[in-house]
Amino acid sequence: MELPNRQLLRPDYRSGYLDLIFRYILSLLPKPGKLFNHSNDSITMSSTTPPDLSLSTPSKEYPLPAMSETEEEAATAQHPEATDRREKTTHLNFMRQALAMAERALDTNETPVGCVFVHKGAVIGRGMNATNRSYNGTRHAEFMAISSILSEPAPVSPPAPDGCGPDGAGDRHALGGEARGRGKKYSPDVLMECDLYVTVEPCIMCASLLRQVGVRRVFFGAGNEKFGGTGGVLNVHRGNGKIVLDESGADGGRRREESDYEVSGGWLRDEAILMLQRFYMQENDRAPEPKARGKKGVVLAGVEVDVEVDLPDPVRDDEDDDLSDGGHGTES
Amino acid sequence: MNPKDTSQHTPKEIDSKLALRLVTGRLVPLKTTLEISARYSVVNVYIAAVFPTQKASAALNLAGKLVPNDGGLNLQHLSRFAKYAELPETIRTSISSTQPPESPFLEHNAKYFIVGSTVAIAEQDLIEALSSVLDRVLVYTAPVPLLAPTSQEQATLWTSKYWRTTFNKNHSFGPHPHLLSKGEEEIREDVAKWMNLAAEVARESNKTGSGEELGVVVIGRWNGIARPIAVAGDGRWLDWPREGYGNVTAHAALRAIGMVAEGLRRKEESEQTQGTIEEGIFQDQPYGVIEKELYRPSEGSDGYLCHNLEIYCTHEPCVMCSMAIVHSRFGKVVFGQRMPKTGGLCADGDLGHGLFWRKELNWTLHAWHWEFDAVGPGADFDGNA
Repeated sequence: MELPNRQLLRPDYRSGYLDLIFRYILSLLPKPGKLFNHSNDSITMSSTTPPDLSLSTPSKEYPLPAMSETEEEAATAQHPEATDRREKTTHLNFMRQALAMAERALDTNETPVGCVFVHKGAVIGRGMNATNRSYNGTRHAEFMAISSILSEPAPVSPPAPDGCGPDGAGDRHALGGEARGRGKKYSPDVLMECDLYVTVEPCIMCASLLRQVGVRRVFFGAGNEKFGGTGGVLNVHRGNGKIVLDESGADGGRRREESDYEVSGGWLRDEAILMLQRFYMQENDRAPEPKARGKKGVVLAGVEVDVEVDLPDPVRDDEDDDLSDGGHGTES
Repeated sequence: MNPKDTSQHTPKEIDSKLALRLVTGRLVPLKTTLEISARYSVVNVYIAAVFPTQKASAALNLAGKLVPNDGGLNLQHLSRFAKYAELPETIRTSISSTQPPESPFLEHNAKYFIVGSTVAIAEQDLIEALSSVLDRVLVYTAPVPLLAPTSQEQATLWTSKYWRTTFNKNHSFGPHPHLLSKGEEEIREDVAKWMNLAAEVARESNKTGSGEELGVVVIGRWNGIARPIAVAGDGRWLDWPREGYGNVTAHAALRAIGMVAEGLRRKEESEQTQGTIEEGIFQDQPYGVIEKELYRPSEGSDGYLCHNLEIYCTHEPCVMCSMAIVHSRFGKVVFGQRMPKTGGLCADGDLGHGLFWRKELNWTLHAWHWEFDAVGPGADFDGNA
């Protein structure tokens, strides 16, 4: 059966992300009950609350990230806990590189999600979503980055000065040239010493991939309540997402498992979401026959944003009926 | 063999070609997370006796004021009133032990009703309030099912255990039963064939050392005729150091999805415009003899991922592959061996993810466990399938 328009059906995170964007826009609007409450209102864009540095389960309410760098420096000078500040700057720096990958995805008409893998303080692999280019809905940024780390020859100059690079003498992560026939590469266990910085929370599939390759820590920007595998929907990073109920029926504690990894969310979350938003707006310009919905736009931070933009509709269960012969999409 | 010839093969020829060892079995639809969780949750409510019974509506009105909306619970699956004779035996026993034998509360027709959640009001306050409309007050606390039952059998069981429970067949906890059985009819006739083919390609993978004894078959079904599009064995040890978990991106399901995608790409992009896709560590090319022979990328799907295709797996796919199947919009999944520790599809395994049908996700599909009549392939495999 010929589908009406491939543009409407792209293999990406679309529906989940649209939801995320709308929720984000709504969160920026003043809440009716709070109009006269000027203190501590959480709708401001730049918050003085530093992101949570503890590598625990991300809460549903992700902290607002991102002071500007000058703000950050000022804050660092004022606050004695400079180590934390320096660490924070490092994380933000890597996350900006992940955002740069997302930007590249945007330029090539892919859902803008990007990531970098960091080994001993240096980026050894980058990835961006490639689901459209590959016609494969599983080619998420994390897969692409891991593939590039393990298949392409590592840089000639070792990324770290301590002999851990692929060309370092006696490096246990370097595979012999004969093994893969294309020069020296990282061996798979390098990933066990890597931290991942990704602009959007890894989906359930990627969260499981990261667990199976043994990644050490994950920092992400925006959470994803539709697909997220590290807090959004499941907690794959802890016990493979298994829920252990204690006697009261609450999700009780569990022992740490070997493949568990630490997760921290909310890093440059707003930037990650705005990137996704740009993608949908850009799509909108190309849409062949936009459906007029006639809702007025809202002014958001000086930029007019049409909340009801004529985005291609996300593939939702209740719409799949049109696309499938005898499909079973309508039942949910 | 000339690839053009293979596309002409009928399913019958595939059978004879591969000399499939036919193992039979039966399809068991998977339970969803909702069906599993609905089964276990109970909540404590107050239950009050009504005496005299004529005061029932007055007592009910009062309860509605004291505990609005049942204290935030949705108890539509429970009858509001029940007669003494309809109460579970354990509760009848405990009531009769506190009442004199001639008590009106022990009469066959004595009325009892659910007041609401115990969280909403203190028992003493409730008793005092009820004394204003009833001549004699009896209140007890009991657990009742929090969520609606998912079958008539469950409703009957709960009625005997907790309180009169009704089953509403329109309430959805999973795939619509009619569509599910229609889907099962569609695949019933040839499921054994595809499961055996999956087992065959799994054996090949294991024999050549390219992977563990795991395999999948992707089927397209048009006008009732099913054809394999891609067949893939596990490829985790292909071109990979033999340690750790192997190449995680070369699990059989991911390989098969990659093969279908590659077919789509070739079909959609003419040779001039075709970009190059770096292979990286992905093993999306057919490798073994069976894989090569049965790879028909041009059959493709309807042009969008693996939309409404069917995937038959020797083992329950791991969490990653289960979610990949959801991302790829398959219509049906069938697997042989359950993998309670690592599988992502079952809602009643150790993990309990039930990824084939979860309301949060933007795609749901029908899923069956294929219970082999004999021991299935790779029965001792213990990792991530």
